[in-house]
Amino acid sequence: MTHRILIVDDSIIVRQQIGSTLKEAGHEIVEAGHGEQALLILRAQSRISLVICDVNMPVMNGIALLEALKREGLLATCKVLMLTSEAQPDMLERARKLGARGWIVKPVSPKNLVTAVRKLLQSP
Amino acid sequence: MKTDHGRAKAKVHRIVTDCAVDFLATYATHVKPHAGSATELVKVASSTQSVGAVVTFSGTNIRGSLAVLSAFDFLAGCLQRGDTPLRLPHERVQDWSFVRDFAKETANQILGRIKNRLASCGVGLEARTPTALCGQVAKGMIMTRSRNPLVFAVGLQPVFVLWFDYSASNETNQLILDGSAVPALCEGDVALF
Repeated sequence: MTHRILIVDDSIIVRQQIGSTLKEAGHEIVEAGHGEQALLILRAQSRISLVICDVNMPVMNGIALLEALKREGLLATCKVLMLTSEAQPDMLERARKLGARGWIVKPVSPKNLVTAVRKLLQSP
Repeated sequence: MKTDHGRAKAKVHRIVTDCAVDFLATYATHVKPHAGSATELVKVASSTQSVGAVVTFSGTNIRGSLAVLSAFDFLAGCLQRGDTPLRLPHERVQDWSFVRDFAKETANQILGRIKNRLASCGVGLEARTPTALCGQVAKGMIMTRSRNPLVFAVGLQPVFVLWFDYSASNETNQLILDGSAVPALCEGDVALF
């Protein structure tokens, strides 16, 4: 089944790499360069099933985006997977408590990314 | 107890070196520390073909910056290798916007690896957003860096230069010396909740 996935990262390279991997896996991709752009897209009811989100971004970082999504009730309609160079357990736990459904430490192999996305999209 | 700053610095040097080598390896680019001078590569900064990035960081009793410098062709080449090569037309990969972005992402991810290792020693860092620098501006950056960068080579050819400049308190240096520098989560790890 094709899902619409929003990739949020300030790096063009990362958005291209993740996007091309997931397009090859049959998904539709939308991109945002930071959390504020992502929030506007998600508020527009744009049928996003999954958000793949970096942590460290200008304007609005990934944790602030998660806080906003939780506050606005938007996590009921889409899942969030963090994709970041950060690997500290306390940050991971904070994201989990805010409603994130997963955490991947960059860089990720295409195979592991596609598997993680499939598992998340199939889970309740 | 007096902290051995020299040993702490040497340990950080090893961490930084390993992080840079490991990062470039994910782009199927195998470099080794180069004992010789980076003069030739640094001269590239006088040309229009140099690309670099700098990212500053700070934490409790530690602050500093990481800067990287390379040539346009080297970074564009990295982008076309590895697990997720950019499947773009050649002329787009040769686009300066991509290569500049990759320089920033390189600085970001290498610092991320260093951060994770220092965090396991109890030393926390917060990084700013990296800034890309090209050509003559990169030359200006180099002049503010310490004199002895880490130089990496493919074969005998220097291809990548990195400066990791920092200052830390005695207590922080002792944490670095005593810590394992083994990150809680490794690059590529996936945790689903």
